[in-house]
This record gives sequence, C-alpha cells and structure tokens, in this order.
Amino acid sequence: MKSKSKVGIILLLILALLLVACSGGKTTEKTEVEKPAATDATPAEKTDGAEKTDPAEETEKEPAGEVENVKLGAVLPLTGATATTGANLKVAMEVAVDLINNSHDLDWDIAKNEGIAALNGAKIELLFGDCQSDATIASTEAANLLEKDIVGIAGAYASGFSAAVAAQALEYNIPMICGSSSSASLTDGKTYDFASVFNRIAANDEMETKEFYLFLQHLNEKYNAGIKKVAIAYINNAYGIHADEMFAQYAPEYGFEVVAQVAYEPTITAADTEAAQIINANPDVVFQASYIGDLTMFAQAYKAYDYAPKMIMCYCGGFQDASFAEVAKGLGVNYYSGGQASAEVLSDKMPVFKYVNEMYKTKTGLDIDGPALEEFASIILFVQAMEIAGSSEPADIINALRNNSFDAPYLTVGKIEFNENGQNIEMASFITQLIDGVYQVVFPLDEYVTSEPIVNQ
Amino acid sequence: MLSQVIINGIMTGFVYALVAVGLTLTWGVMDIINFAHGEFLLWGMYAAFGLWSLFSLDPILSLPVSAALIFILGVFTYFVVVKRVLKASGLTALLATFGLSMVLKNLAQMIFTANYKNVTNTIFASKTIKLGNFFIRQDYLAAAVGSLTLTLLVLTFINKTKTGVAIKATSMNRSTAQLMGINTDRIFAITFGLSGACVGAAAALMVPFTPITPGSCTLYSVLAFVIVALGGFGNITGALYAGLLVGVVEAMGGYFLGTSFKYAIIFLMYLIVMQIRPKGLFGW
Repeated sequence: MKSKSKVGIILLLILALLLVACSGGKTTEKTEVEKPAATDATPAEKTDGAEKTDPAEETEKEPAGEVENVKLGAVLPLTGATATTGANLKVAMEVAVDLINNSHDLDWDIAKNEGIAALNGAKIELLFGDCQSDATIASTEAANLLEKDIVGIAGAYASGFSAAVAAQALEYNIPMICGSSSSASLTDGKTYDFASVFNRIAANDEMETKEFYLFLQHLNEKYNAGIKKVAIAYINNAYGIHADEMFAQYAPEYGFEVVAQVAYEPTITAADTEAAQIINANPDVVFQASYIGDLTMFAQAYKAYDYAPKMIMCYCGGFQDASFAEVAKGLGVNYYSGGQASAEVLSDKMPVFKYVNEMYKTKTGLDIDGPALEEFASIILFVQAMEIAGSSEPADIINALRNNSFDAPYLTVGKIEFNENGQNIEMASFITQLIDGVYQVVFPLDEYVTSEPIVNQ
Repeated sequence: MLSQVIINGIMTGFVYALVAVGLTLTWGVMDIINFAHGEFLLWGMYAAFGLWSLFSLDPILSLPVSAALIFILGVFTYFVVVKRVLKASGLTALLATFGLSMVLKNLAQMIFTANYKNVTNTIFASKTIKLGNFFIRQDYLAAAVGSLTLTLLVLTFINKTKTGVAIKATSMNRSTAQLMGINTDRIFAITFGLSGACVGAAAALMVPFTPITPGSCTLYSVLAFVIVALGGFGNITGALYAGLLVGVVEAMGGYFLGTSFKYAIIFLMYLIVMQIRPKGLFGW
C-alpha cells in the first residue's frame, strides 16, 4: 500500500502539471450552436454567378496582366482547444479576401473594385499558419510565414498567441493587425516592445470597463436604477485578472462601490461557492470576466439560488458566445449585458455589415460574431492601408496604418484609427443586452440602439 | 450562508465519490492505474449529451444507456489495451492508459469539436428545494441521491454476489484465485467494465450542470485520484467518505480562504494525510 501511495503522489504531480498546462492555454471559448440551414444564394453567388468559387480558391487566381499578388499571412488556432473559433475566424478572413479580390454589388469601394486599385488591381493571397492553440507554435508559424515574402500578418485570436506573432513581426519589421485579442497589455506601450509594428482593432478591457460604468450611470439617470454597489467574479488568468484591475480601478471614478472581488480557477467543476460569495456581498450589479463554461455555471447557480441582480455586465469571453443566448433564454433571465462588436439585429441599419454577415453565414451557418468581424476587419485594413500608401512595402503600410483613419462601414462606430501604441482609439464594440435570448443593442445611445435596456428591479 | 456552502459541498462530494468509486475498482482492486478514467467520464457525458440532443432523452432517463456504453468501453479497453500490458511493469500499463486518454480526448475533439455543449431544460434544471433558509438545487440533489444509490449498489455487488467476491479474491491474490478456478481474465474485464459503468452513470448525473468540452473532465480525474488515495485503495466505502470530505473541504476552503485556493486546500490535505497515514484515511 505504501508503494501505491508513492505512485499516487507522483501520479498526482503529473496530473496537476497536465492540468496547469491545459488551463494555461485556455482562452476565449465558444460553444457550438445548432447550425441553421444555409441561407439562399450568398451575396458572393449573386454577384459572381454560377462559377463563383470558394474565396480561398479565389486567392489562387492570378490577376490580369503582369500584376503580382500581394501576400498576407494570418496565424490562427486551427487545431487544438480553440480550433472551432479559429476555423470561424479563418472564414471571416476569407470573406474579406473575397470582397477585396472580386467585384461585388455593394456600395463600398473595397467591395466594388476587383483587387487593390492603387496597385493596378493586384489581388490578395492569404497564407494561413496554424498555431495549434499554442503560443510557442504561434511564434514558429509566424516565422514560417514571414519567410514567405508576406507584407503583413494578422491574427492570432488569443492575446498570448498574438503577442508571440507580434514579436516575430517586429523581428522582420512587418506590420501586424490583430483583430480580436482584448488584453490591454498588448497596446499599453510598456509590457511589449512591438508597438512600432502592432495594431489592434478590438476594444481592450480598459475601454470596455469605462463603457460599462457609463452604461450603469445611464441606467441610474434615466431608469432610476439605484445602482451603487458592484462586484466582480473573474477567472484567475491574464484576461480575468486584468479585467478585475480595471473594474476596481475605475469604479470609484464613476461613483460605484466595490463590495466583492471573487477570483476562481479556470478548471472549476462548479461555481456555487463563488456565486455564494457574490450573493453574500449583495451587489446591485455583478461584473463577470468568464468564459462560456464558467459563465454558464455561474448563471445556473445564480438562478438556482434565486439571485437576480439589477444587471450582470460581462467582459467579452463567454457572453459573446452565441450559445450563451440559449442558456440565458432557457433560464428565463434578461439581465445579462456585455460588449459586442457585432449583432445580427443591426443588419437592417448597416448594409455592408448585412452583406458581410450573409457571406459569413453561408459558409458557417452562424451570424458573424465580434471576434470574427474584427479579424475580417484586419484583412480589409491592410488593403485600405495599401490603397492609401499606393505601395505594398511593409514600411509604407506601417506608416499608412499609423497616420490615417480608416472607413469601417461594417462597424457601428464607422471608422478605425490607431494610436501610437497601435490601439484602435475608436470603440469597436457597443453594449448589448440579452433580451429573450436575442442580443439587443442598448448602449451607447446612437442610431444603432435596437432596444431599451431592461433593468431588473 | 456557511450552511448553504456546506450543503453544496456535500452534494458535490457525492458526485466526486461516484467518479472515484470507478477508479478505486481498477486501481485498488486490480492494481492498475487507469489514466483514461477522466476520458471515460468525458465520453459518458458525450453519450448523455448525444441521447439528449438526438432523442430529447433526459440524462436521468438515459443513465442506464450511458452506463452501459461506458461499460462496453471499459471492457474493450481491457482487452485491447490493458490485457496486453498486464504482465509488464506498472509503469507500462500507466503509459498505455495515458496514451489511451490522449486518443479518447482528441477523438472527442475531432468528433464533437472543442466547443462547449450544454444539456438544458432537464427535469431538475434550475429548480430548488427551499428548506428554511437553505436552497438545495434539485439537479445536485438528484446527482447526490443517484451517486449514493449507485455506490451502494456497487458495494452490494462486490460483497454479495459471486462475481463480486471473485473480484475481491482476485485483488487479494491473483494466482490463488486462479487456482480456485476463477477466470481472472474475465474478472478483470468485468472490473474494468464496472469501473466504466460507474463513470458513465456519474456522467449522466453531472451533465445537467456541467458544460461539456474535451477538457471538462481533467480536474474530475485528478480529484478522483486524490479521493481514492484518501479513501484507501480499493475501498469503496472509503471512496464515498473521502468524496464527501473533499467536497466539503473544497466548499469551505473556498468560502473562508478564497475560491482561488479551494483546490489547493484539497491537495494540501492530501499531502498531509499521505505523510501521516499512507494507506489513506479509510484504508486497511
């Protein structure tokens, strides 16, 4: 028996190491939703007729005349823990390539033109690298792509992967556009030294926190919500810890009192104890920095213990996963809100977004979500920069990206502009609230609002 | 609130216990460390999810099917993987099952993708029983009752049936058991199958409140190893008590010391117990 104990201790150490390794790579997670039947004809099919092919195949076509293709690279997690998300992001990028390389019946120059006008109609050739949901491999894959004469690199979804790719891009002095990574450290100008080549489209968690508090102030002013006390439940990793820091840092500035900060491990099997601590603090509003699995467990626990705060504000992560809409609807709750860069309900108000969404939906069966729209934007931005620079030289693209504002009719904010650290200073996301299982735009108060917020009183 | 936390811990502990009972059968009785135990649980969850999504079968009702499927997986594993390395050193069997765990996990990812899957709108979902100031989640209660019942059934099977006694005899001395006419090969296959059936049943009880992804069961697997060691290798009642202990310590530790420490406390307890009582708290 004693030898068994020793074996047991060794075994546990091995298992614990495996567990740490597994949780370390965990990033924004997605849940599968039932894929609806594909829509009728895709916009691409409508414009290009029966011979329309896959966008990836389109990239292989040689442009007319002597013009050479312009090569871009993209590192994405196409296998491993975040493979499904990576596959969807790849489709979003391919949609962008299709819009750029082929003429589409859409009132937007990028889509109307065939190829890059400033480069005599040169087409984009997009090369993909699979980081296998691993930051080390992301670095290797980026290096492989950078050896293939690419003029820019995109990706790589999780902040850790993006940082690894950006470090390689700096070595080669090639511009990088990161669509969806949210860690503020990527563009704080202090943590990393790749600011000269790095550009990030997504709002970071600092920007998101400020918008959340503005929203709560709005609820107090217009709906007399009486929100004073706030608490946060956050996953104990880089994403959650930074969200918690922002949450606590800005609460007093916006007039709110922090009553609880509950951290939990990425591998939790149940969230009841964590939920109990939140409930015990009795906040008016709960912030959640959680992935889909954890957020679902919290939602079930809150509901089971009959706890209904005035609002639950979610930092990207699990809330953006379309399957959470089904969870919230199943629980019969309408108090979940969070940041989004995309919402299907905006289709009628944004024709370019609608067109892109339909192209994406034809290939995936899903509405385009925030991260996918941001990765789509990364490819579009490269081309916009080349159009402005009139060149496909990496140095010219870097200059163009830093010194211009770019038209983005697929985002509610309508444009993208980077600061000196590469952060998009235009808020790419807005606040949506899950009302009867549908993401409704509730803030900021502009023409894109689709519903009044519901405050749980 | 503390009482509520303790109740939650007890409920969670029962589920941990059932997962550990399966492991204690193979580890304690057969002296084989099944590294793929967590993946058996994972496949049990996917079986329950599949039956729910395809036939709208509530996991509670599909429990026998999940248990039977993982029983078959267990028997298959024994004949295809374990039997071939039975005479080799313990490390060989360990590595073989480790390899199997990788195969099963990656196969799950290939078939079901890495996306989370939820079993919703089950019989007991989001319902609670209120007792004074306490809430008891019905899905947890169902899992706890189911877990206790199944553990007692396994215990009865091992102690009261001819096959169960043969399993015990084989665990004590394989050669003597063979001399007594026991087909130890068959007994090992049944034990592996029974271990699978336990986690298959546990999986069906857990899916109403556990989102499923290929990495879902890693922590359950680690905790099962702790519980088996604490409960005493091969001791089914020990696994039940140790499961409850781990559930309560996890809940209370998280409540008092912070939820980010709740698993660290369990492993600390394990290390202390192993130093003081290497046979486990309930071992002999």
